[in-house]
Amino acid sequence: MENKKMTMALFSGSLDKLTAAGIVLSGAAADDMDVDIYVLLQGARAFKKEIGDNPDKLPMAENPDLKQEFLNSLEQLKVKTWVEFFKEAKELTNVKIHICGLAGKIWGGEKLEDFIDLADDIVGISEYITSAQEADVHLFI
Amino acid sequence: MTPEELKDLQVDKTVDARGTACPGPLLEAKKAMGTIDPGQVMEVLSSDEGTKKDLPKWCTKKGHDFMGIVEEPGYFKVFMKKG
Amino acid sequence: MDIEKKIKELESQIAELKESTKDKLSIVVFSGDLDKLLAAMIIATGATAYDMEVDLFFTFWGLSALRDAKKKVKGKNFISKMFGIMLPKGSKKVKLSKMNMAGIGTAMLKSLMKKKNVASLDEMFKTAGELGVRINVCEMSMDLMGIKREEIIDYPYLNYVGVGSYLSDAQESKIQLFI
Repeated sequence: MENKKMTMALFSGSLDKLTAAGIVLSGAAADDMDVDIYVLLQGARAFKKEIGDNPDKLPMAENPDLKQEFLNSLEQLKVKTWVEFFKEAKELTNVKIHICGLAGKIWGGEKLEDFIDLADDIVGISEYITSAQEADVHLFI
Repeated sequence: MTPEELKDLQVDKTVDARGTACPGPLLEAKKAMGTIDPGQVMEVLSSDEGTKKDLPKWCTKKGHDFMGIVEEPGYFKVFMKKG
Repeated sequence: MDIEKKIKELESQIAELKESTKDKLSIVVFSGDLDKLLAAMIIATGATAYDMEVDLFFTFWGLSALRDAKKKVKGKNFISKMFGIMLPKGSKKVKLSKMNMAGIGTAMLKSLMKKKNVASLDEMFKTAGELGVRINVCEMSMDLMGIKREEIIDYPYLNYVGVGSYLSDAQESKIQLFI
């Protein structure tokens, strides 16, 4: 049986949504899904080397006033950071991470080296549309 | 299998995923499943309630045999046989 | 060529195809904002009109909408207490994502909805229950936000699950949304 396929458009670059995306990704990894992640506008900022999983540099999508409580709670439950989730998923299943070229440029990232090691390539948007059409699960986060 | 039968079962592998939240137990189970042979039995120890729904579903999807859950004080054991 | 065998093979393939993409909608309800929650519930109840099965996965901030204002819980730790106090308690307390303007925006939307006979979030949960919409609650988020089972609303099709259950449901769905 062929592996199921998931396409994730990662538009958000916020701490809470990236964490949620990481958990969904882990679930996909446990299920041996093939995953294509397209890192779009705000997401590309988080993928910059100088940002990554540094919580001080990541905004919250909701409840910004609860950021510290949120972080404390994550720590208490030993929840991994979003980068750790993505990294583990890459080790367990076929995950390809594509940075949207335009989004990268907006945040000053021209080359693959400008982004954290997890990124596989820099692509144009048409690849995302094709990938989404073929996917069994398609999420826009 | 009844909980009594499961308790006496000889397991080939024990995965202690207590203290990790979802998706920890699921990923630990997946990793450990790769290290045992078909027909061998594995138990996953977890304290994450969502795991009780997740692991049986995962077993069915991946062709492993979900054998049952045994409650222990403060955690539970999920038994499965590799398919 | 063994025709009977061939037919059997085809039949099982068709059964598998039917199973793989049901007329099913799955929505991750991540947001705790009134407008986004309303949108999610309208899509969910609307989909049942097309005889779709609907699975909602409440996670992170979305859990606020599932808290029952009448239920009280004791014995929470410090972090849980902080979240408990600061997060909205129930579908009547969640606010707009933008233009909340210290509650004025939310109040305006609610009064408009009443005027235009749009059901409140509370009523939508009731309808959703009657229509068989399933609500799956992310157990890990409950721990994260310090929300306990005792304070979750009474709902006929409620389950506590993990991310694995979500993905297998999502794979069977024709439409997947993250709100």
